[in-house]
Amino acid sequence: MKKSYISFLIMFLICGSYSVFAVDNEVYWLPDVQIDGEFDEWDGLDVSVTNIAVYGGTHDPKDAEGSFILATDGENLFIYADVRDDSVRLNTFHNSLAWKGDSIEIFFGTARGFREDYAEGDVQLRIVPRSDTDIFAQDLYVSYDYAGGDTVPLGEVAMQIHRRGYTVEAVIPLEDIGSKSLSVGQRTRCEFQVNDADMLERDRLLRWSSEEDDYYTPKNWGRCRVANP
Amino acid sequence: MSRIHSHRYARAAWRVATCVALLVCLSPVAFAVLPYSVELNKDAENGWELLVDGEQLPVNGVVWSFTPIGDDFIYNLWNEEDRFIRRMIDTDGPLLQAMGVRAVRVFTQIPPKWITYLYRRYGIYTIVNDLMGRYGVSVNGRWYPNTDYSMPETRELLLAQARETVEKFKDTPGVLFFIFGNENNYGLQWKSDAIEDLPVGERQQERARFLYSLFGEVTAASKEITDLPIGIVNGDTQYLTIIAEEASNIDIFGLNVYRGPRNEPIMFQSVATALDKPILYTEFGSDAFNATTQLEDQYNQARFLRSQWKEIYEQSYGKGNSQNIIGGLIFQWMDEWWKYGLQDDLFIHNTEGTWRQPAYYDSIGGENNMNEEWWGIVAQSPKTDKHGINLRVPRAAYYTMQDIWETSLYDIEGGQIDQYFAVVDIEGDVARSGERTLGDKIADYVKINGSLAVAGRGHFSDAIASEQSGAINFSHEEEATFEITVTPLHNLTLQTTFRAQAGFLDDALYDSYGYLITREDDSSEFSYIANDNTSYSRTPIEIYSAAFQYETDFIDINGYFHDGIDLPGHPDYYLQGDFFYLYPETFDREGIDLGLQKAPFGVEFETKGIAEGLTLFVGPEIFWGAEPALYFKFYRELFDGFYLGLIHYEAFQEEQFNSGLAVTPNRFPERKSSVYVQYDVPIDFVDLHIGLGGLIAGTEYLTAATLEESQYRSADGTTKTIGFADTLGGKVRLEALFNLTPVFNIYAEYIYAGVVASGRGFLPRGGSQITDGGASNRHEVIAGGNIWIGDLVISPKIRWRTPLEPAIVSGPNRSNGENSPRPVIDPVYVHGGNREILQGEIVLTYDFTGATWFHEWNNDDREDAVFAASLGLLYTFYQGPTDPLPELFLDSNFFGYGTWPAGHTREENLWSLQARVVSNFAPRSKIIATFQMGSDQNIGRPDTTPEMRYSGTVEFELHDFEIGLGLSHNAFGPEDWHFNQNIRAPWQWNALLAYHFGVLSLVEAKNRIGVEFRGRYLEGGTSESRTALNTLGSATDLYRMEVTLFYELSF
Repeated sequence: MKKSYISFLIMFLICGSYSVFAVDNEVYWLPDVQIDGEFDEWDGLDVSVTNIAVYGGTHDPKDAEGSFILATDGENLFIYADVRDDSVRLNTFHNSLAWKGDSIEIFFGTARGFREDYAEGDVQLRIVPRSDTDIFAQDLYVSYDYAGGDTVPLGEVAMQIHRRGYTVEAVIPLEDIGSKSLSVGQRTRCEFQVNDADMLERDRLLRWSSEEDDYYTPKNWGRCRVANP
Repeated sequence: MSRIHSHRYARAAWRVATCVALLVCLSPVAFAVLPYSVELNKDAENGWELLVDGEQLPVNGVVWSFTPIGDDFIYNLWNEEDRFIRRMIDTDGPLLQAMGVRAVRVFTQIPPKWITYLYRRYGIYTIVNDLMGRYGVSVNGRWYPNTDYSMPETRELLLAQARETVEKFKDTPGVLFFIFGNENNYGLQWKSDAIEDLPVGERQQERARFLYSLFGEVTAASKEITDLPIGIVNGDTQYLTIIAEEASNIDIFGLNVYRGPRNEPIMFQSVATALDKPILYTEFGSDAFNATTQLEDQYNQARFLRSQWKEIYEQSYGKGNSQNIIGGLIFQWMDEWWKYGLQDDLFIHNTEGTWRQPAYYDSIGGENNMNEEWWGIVAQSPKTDKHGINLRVPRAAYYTMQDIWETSLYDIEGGQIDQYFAVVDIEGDVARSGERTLGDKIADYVKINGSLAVAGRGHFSDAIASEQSGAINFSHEEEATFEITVTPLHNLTLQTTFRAQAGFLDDALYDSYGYLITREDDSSEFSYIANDNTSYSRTPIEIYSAAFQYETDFIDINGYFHDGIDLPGHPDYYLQGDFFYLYPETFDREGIDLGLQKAPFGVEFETKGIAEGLTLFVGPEIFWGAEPALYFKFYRELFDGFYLGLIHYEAFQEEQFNSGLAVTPNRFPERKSSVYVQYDVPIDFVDLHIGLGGLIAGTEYLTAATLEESQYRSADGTTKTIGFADTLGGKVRLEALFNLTPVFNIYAEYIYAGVVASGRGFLPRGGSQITDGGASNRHEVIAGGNIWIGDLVISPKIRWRTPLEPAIVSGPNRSNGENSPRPVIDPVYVHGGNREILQGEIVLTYDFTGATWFHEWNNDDREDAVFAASLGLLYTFYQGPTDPLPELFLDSNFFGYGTWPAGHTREENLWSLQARVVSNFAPRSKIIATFQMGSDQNIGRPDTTPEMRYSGTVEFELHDFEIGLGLSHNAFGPEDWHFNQNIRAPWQWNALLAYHFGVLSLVEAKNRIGVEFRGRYLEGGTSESRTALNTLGSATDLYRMEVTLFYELSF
């Protein structure tokens, strides 16, 4: 009997164990980020560039491209994005449909293991340019998460819209996205997306890591780790 | 030719010509020319308008739905009799007309004459919709669920189909225009080298370009045939620029849009800028079920429609905005109860959400809030009118639209719109639709169903020496069931069925339902024998079945007692990694339910979310014949195309094995574990799946209390002890689907099973008679394939097997269990399984209606082809000797295992043929015929020569009548052991006539009254057969017959 259980256990361990993957990007440990529309605290940090065109032809940096940085102080997730866009249009869609217009999305997950579906701690965040006169009058919300997401704005956003695109910094408490805390060395999953709508509705979708045109499969996201700058 | 003859011919010709002329004149459709013109006009100042004979026509429309409660997606109204179709149209027509509907959207199955009928009688136009392969297409005999619009053959086929559609309807009075597709842009999922070679970001657009260029070709071809406008049905506004490039010739841009209460001006501007075509909403609206309150919500459905139509008016002709929408088709006219579950719960108005749209009124967190079965602006009642048509119950939205359409969008000024819509009184419309009664409110939480059945039977025989000699014996049975379903919480459902019974039908022909052994007329209790040879007592009132379902975000808990909430039982887990079928399917359905057992009986836990894939099923009898046990499963896709399944089955109690042998053997509590991995290899032209499984079973023998219990007798005469290696099994399976012409697939599996490593048998499927029997002690290979040639499928298959421990073919005379070389309790003993075998099979299946699989369990009801058939031939090239079954004691009341027969089951070549034909030869008329013949060897009667058997059945469904006939010659009795022991009857027959009220089902009849004759003629049969098959009579009876009158009603 013991032999049978040992064999069973061995088969379980062999077939059920996961590989350990390398890290593609870093979430910087930055204890002091102010959401004020001044972006100097992000200077000198490595950025993740969305140069994979998932939809809408090939990647054309003159048309649209986003450079992203994530940071944390252990209790909040800070987001920085500098989006180059030759035609920035304020987004008038309802939050549930705001992907049809200019916007950016950040996929972030602290749940462990490969997963087809969102687990607690996995979120899709969307930042939507709503105003070119008030830098704080923008929307940030959890577009999708383990419980399905919501469209109620959360956190704080500051966005500067300019001739070559828009630059944004934002913060959202980790507890609002289902994560308790982050610490240096912790592994996470992350992905960045730019929705670009030059004339009508979205005509190009750009990603940093994944070529898959879906928002609901965390296993396709990139691999990140919390690290000191 | 004489003059007289020539006059006769002339008169006859004149009469024929007169008749033809009259027919032509009276026919409403034939040779008709449209009595109106339809055109789209863009006024530079005011925008787009639709003109019929020069008059503006607002497209105030609905997507017409008419599927009755109890039917599903294959329902086709147009296959019904004309009388019924007319009644259906006359049910909806007046309501549509009174509401103000000017046009309905209908798919191409509709015969032209009904379009004309709807138009002439109710003034309602029809927009004819050709789906253009939206839900798959059959090309060169292969069914493609995801249509590949780049394939030349597919394009030619769809183009020809579109031409045919336009030709068919172009002169039909009532047709307003044609639309093609149904959000086909959401189904662009095919793969090809040409597409995969493109950069990722261009692949979807390239696929879309193929789709829209085909739309362009279809539009051009259609315009060569008709002057009526041509449109497409797009999913939202996706690919506008590609549409502009590839299909700029379309007249109407139709879009299915579900963005919420409004779509915002940018959407109309986008279409105007990119396409400059008039917009028609081909689907939009709101469901009437509130996911937040879990109640019907007529107010919010009406409120959303008011908002959506206000925007249509604002963006229409002459309003100064985009001025490019000509109307909308509300989705949909009437609720359809099949949409959740598709083929299940057809009589339940399901409230589960199937997708999520936060912009709707009942968005709650991330839960699905769109309820597919509640989109009607008219509900349908389970009650029917005298013609059997479900009653229509207009919702508030019906009256709201009636108010709105009172003034056409062309007849209102832009500045008047706010005021016009502000006075639409939705609260009043809710009141008009009827206040919810206390009964309605209770019905939200409690549902009651039930049934009543009464039957009387007379049976008689030619009994010579029987006490019942020459007598006719009567028996009767009455049964009533009462099912109550309570939903106290939106995630908790409780269901119980009580059954009351009186009387008991004597089963003179020994059916599979057990038989009476004692009856005390002055007592309320009966006792009788079940198939497992156990005596049961039955009380007049019992809990027949019960179930519960509790759902949370993390775990679902399902309770089963002879039933489940969603299914009448429990399916197997074969598609979830149970490679060795350790859990067999268990359903309470006519013909397969072992009525006296209460399986499945247990509680199932299924995890969701991060732990998705874990299942624990534990209970006293989780499947038929199971002892108290638990079943554990983990199954999940770990990586792309890589699946892992882990299964463990553990019984807590040894199985009591009833035997007539001197020693009543017990088997140890079973323990079985398996692991399964599958990898789907990504190759372009072939879908390749590799499955690999391991099994550990029979380890209970390793811990037997005595050495003897863990030993078995080998064919070489020695006694061997079961070791760990004997408990191991394995299986590897390769399956490949080749996307070539013709399309074909091949598969092969090799099975190794140690001498005690048994799984469980897999039910043969797909018309085949070969399956993995799940036995231990074997090497086995099963290989085969399917070739699709047009509507014909050719399915060859072979099997080779050899035992690890062969049968014992020589030894002492087997006069009883003690002297048998291999007793029935021997762990290696397998009923006829430990033999070498080589079989070949071919199954031919012809069925041109792909939506109803010919070999599905309920195909008798679902098959909708005019003609479909299958023919299967199994030939056994060789089968070697095997351990025989012990003989049975046979008497009129009881049977049990007895002595061992002499000799062993010999080498034989055998064959078996089976055929089935289904024809829907006329509306509401169907015939199903089956035929089987073959030679069989009986492992309980090794010395008998294989004999031929023949049997056939014919079933007719003629309107509301069911007629069934069956006849067999030299066929076995109804029980499994009849086959094993060569219990045959020279002739058996049955005839049934029933009248059905309500839905006629040949699979699960619920409402019918009828009479059935069954009989058996035994002269010429063996004395054993006469003994075994004369359950209630004498062994010398030569014939037995019974007549049963029955009445069954459900509500």
